[in-house]
Amino acid sequence: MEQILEVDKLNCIFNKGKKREVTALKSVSFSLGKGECLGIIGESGSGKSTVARIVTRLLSATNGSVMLEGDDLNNISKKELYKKIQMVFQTPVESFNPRLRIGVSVAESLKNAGYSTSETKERVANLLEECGLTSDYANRFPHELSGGECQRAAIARALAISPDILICDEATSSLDVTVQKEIIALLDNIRKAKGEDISIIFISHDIALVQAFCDRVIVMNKGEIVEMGDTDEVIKNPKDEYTKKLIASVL
Amino acid sequence: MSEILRYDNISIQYGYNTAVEDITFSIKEGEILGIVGESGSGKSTIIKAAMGLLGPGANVSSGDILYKDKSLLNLSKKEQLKINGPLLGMIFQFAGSSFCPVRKVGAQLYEAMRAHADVTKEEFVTKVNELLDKLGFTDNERILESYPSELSGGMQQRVGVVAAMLLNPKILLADEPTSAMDVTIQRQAVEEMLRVRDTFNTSIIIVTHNIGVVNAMADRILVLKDGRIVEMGDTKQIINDPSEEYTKKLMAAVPRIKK
Amino acid sequence: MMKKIDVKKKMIFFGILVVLLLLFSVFCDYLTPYDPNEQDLSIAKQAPSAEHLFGTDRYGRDMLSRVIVGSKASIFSTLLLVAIITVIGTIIGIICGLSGKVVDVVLMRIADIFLAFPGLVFALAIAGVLGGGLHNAIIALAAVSWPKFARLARSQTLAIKEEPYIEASKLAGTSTIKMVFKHILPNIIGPILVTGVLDIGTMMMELAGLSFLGLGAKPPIAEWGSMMSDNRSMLATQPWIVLTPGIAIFVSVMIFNLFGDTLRDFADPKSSRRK
Repeated sequence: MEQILEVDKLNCIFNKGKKREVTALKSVSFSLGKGECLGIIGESGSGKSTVARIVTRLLSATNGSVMLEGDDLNNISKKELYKKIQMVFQTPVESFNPRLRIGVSVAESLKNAGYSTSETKERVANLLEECGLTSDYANRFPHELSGGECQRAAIARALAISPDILICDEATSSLDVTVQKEIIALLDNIRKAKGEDISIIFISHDIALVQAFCDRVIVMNKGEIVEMGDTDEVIKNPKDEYTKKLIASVL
Repeated sequence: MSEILRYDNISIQYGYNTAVEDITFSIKEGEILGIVGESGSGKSTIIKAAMGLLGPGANVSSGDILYKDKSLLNLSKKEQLKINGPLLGMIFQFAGSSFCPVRKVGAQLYEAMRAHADVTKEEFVTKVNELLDKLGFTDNERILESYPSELSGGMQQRVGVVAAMLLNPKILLADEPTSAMDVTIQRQAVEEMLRVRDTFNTSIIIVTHNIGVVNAMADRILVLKDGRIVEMGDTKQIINDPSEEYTKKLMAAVPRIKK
Repeated sequence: MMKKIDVKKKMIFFGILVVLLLLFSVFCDYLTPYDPNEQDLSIAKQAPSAEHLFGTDRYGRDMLSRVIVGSKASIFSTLLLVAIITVIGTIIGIICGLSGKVVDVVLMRIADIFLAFPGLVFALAIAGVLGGGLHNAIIALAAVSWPKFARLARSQTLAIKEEPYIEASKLAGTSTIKMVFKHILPNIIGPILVTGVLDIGTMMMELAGLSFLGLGAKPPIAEWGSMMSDNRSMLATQPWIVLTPGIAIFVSVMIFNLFGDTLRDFADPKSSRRK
């Protein structure tokens, strides 16, 4: 399988005041194949969100490299990068500017990429419909939507400029289980429709969800990758002590 | 096993909106009842009503909550103090933030106990050590001499259970006690509550959206949707063989590990 | 729910008063019964009467006309001053909040320096160096008053800059300038505007204070502060000459303050519910 993203020996250290350092990531290496869905599981503080923030350059790593289609991430302009990588956040409602209509937020990346007003409008309407909403949601405000509807709109926003990589950072954690199931089904449909054109990094603390949705999984603990492999293989036959404990804890 | 707490046709309103409608259920001594439902189902409202913790603007519009035939509604502050603590204990979602951050855990537990019972420091120490021993703690001294932030999340929640159990209440009410937790800590908290029931024969009402947690703990489950009871029954039956459409949908939506 | 409507009614009421006051000062030239600058020594220092409602000053000028015309200099220079400090403070605050690091430290230490001096004394010094005149008084007060707004805008910016919607917009490829106008400014402007409106009263007083000390408006421009100052020797003998502009300041300051207060209650649902 052709690799689209290669992360090599990523370290990330936060300085918290005088001489207090927190190591968020310790020598993290992994790769993401074209059309693959990679799960990252771990508990709070394991560094799984830090990985997402470094890959999207919302945060810079202390050292190590990230290669996107063979180019170093730091050599790609942010404008080009964000045409290739998009993210869906944990908090659906808060990821929309409360003062803007949903349509305006969804259209933002299209506007920035130079689409005309009529093209943008049409594309936004299509995107919202693809994501299970109707086009008139474009005229509503975030607080008028339920969490699930907002997350659908957030997915529409992330897909607007057809990225190659979609990162879901705990995208379903704040939703009720029935809504969560709908969102997963939506992501599944997107994968089926796009095939090799979209690779997904699915970050979650919910092991069962990762098992149901991802091809491969990375288990993280305290900033390190403790185990990596085929999802079913890792969950059914965990080798690492921490992974065993984690899986045994699931009720 | 005799019945200890009973909700009789309870309806609760927030302003003109009905949050909970016509809820009837009861719980026996030493029984664990799980109340599950999605956001907005009114599950937290139900247990807050028993503690008199409904905020301003909310009121019980009809029905009654009975503790062994004694109504828990419309009590004076003084009567409430006799109920909350000695009869009903509460476990909160964020145990860490229900403790004052600048005082030691031991001092806060002592203060909590003093608010309800006339105890000396020595009696308190004996009582708390006894309790900690029974619940399987090993480093009592360190815990009591710690500030809340020095304890791990799991330990904070366990101490939260200790705080609720200090006055040896007959019923524990737990409002989303494990929702903010990682799975490994969640398991500890669940085991802690089970140990409480096994040791003291305490009844527990646990409110949660996590089906896994009630499956591991509860004897009976009450499924709530939009303020109404959808289904109530044995844990096994509700989880494996639900009869209502909504429960079926809910159970089907829960992701499960395939081992 | 009832309380919220009450606040809204109150705000509309005071808002109308503010608008009336502004309209009054815009059209003040047409509202004067006499020419405010015409001197007639034969009727100097007359007590209030039916003919001259507020009396006349030492040059025989009609006080009512001067107080009416004075509203222009007093109110508009105050509004200009508040506008200047709000805009400058907000711009600097947002720059600090967004850039962080060196720029933030340098600008905030400069703000601290300005805050470390007693405001009016420092303004006096600046006005003294620049010389008198309404323009210089405005510059002097602006120089000492912007840090408050810079601090407010900075803290507001810091509070929202890590919000998911800001990050989502970064991922949409939005430039920083666009981000400020589209996402940051609309979400932090509320408290800044409220503080600005609440500051109008204070600034009006300080401007009048500078004028009173002879560092503000120069005669013959009618300005409430300088009118009080010029005639302060007559407080015991002809009190109306000093008190009428004083009352004008009092009333306008109160209108702006009450409007600011209700605006704050309206903007902050928590504080209005408490009342």
